Amino acid sequence: MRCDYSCRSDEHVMNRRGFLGGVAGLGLGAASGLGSLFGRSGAASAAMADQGKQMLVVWLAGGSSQLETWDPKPGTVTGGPFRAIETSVPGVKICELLPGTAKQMHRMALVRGVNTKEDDHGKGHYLMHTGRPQTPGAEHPHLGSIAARFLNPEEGPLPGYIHITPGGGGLGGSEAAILGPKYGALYLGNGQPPNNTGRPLPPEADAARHALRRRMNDRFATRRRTAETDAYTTTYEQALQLMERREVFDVSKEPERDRDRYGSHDFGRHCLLARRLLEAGSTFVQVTHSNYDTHNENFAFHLEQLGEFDQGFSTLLDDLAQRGRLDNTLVVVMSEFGRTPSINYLYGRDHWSAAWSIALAGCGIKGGAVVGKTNDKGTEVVDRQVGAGHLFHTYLKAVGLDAKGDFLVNGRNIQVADPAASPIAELLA
Amino acid sequence: MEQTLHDRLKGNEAPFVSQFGRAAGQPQEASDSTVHQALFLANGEPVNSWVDGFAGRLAAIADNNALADDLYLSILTRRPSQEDRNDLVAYLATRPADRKGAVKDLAWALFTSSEFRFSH
Repeated sequence: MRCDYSCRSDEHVMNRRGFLGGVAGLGLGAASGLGSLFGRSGAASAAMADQGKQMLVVWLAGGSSQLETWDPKPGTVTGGPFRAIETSVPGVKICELLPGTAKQMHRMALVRGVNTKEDDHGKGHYLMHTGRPQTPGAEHPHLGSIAARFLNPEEGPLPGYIHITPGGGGLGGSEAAILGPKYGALYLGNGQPPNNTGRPLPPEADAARHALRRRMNDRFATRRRTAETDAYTTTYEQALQLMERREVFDVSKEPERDRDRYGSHDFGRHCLLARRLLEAGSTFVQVTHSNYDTHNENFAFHLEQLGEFDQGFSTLLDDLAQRGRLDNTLVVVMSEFGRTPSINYLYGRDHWSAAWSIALAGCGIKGGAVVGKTNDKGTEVVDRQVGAGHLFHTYLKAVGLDAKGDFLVNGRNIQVADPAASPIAELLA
Repeated sequence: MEQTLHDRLKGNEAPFVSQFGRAAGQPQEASDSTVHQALFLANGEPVNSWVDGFAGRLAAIADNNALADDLYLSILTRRPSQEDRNDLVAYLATRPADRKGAVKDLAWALFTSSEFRFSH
């Protein structure tokens, strides 16, 4: 079937034919075994999932305080009431609110010299997700969409970019920007499976009507076929894949002792769901923990939130390592920005992007590395200052993506990461 | 009369808007397709119950040609081609005991087809 839009290369035609050919056979066969028909042979795709790189992002929404996490300054006028504790890396201390994570520090790297010059929630969110400042008229794809597009094998079993949120679920699409809505985020609100994944008919009956739908679409495609019609028909195949895999979204299928280890709170469950999705081959999983925007009662809220974070995150990181997955999974813990060293009259800290921290682990990252330093009170970066662009380059390099490359998407060149920045070499193994 | 029609159909809007609409102030790009929309159209209650009602009326038409005409005109606002007619008759023949179920499938397939989505 000739493809009259896009690149017209032979390779493209072959892939389309292969994909459609494989899919067209489905309606005639039994519904079971759908999963393996959607790709290469079962063994090969399992091998690919094993060698493929994956990403896990833990997003601490609201701006978590670097002083209560990765870069404590106890005993100073800005340090607050908490102490610093030793970690599994000699000489590296983090806040006492993260005892479990402290034991994992040898698998992690800290970036303490982050200066992103953006104190606004929305713009900070955009900056940290895309590696570029938000400007009117330009839209850049999120890290998750980039991972979905370039790391996810074409026949991958799950949507490439999955985001577990504490609240609303459902639609995504704009995150992918120029890459197209196929690489948008699938939001799992409070970790619930996507809506409408149950079949309204028995599997064989459903397969029969999908075959009918495909036959009609194939006939229509001979008259009119565009990127949009292809995107549309593809979403039905993706939907079928999701339906076939809906058990993957059910965290109650994990053993009860695991649910206890991760914590009987939403974040704990979401971390366990993230493990489940990553083990099922999901390319990019983001878990959002809320709410760190502690303009008042910073210490009480961080105590509570980090209690949940520490348990869920350290358990997840340890499990990924124990199961041999950490070497192929990049882990990033970040926020829109940090919080002010000065404490306001409500015992809170306000937005602060001039000197804050993020944490990394896993694929391509040098365990135990600490890059960047702030001064005694945490008011300024004094060594190895980096911005969002550098971090973005580092993530891509860690999983083997060419950030400096140009990608041709629908006839437009996009550079995956800001060309003005470069990876942080000291973090990379 | 239009007002009456509008009022009667208004209740059906909400699930479609939630799947296909955008937040206020965002540009509406009608051609974006998402897997959530596909799940909604394929498995969601509004579409499946609608085709059920529609099929009930159509299945009563004994003549397959007239059935094909009604089906295609209602959903795609065109007459079926000879190939379309052949396909329809062949599909009905696979489910002789369940004409309504077969018609329901045909209606569903047309409704979820790319022609319906893009051709009008």
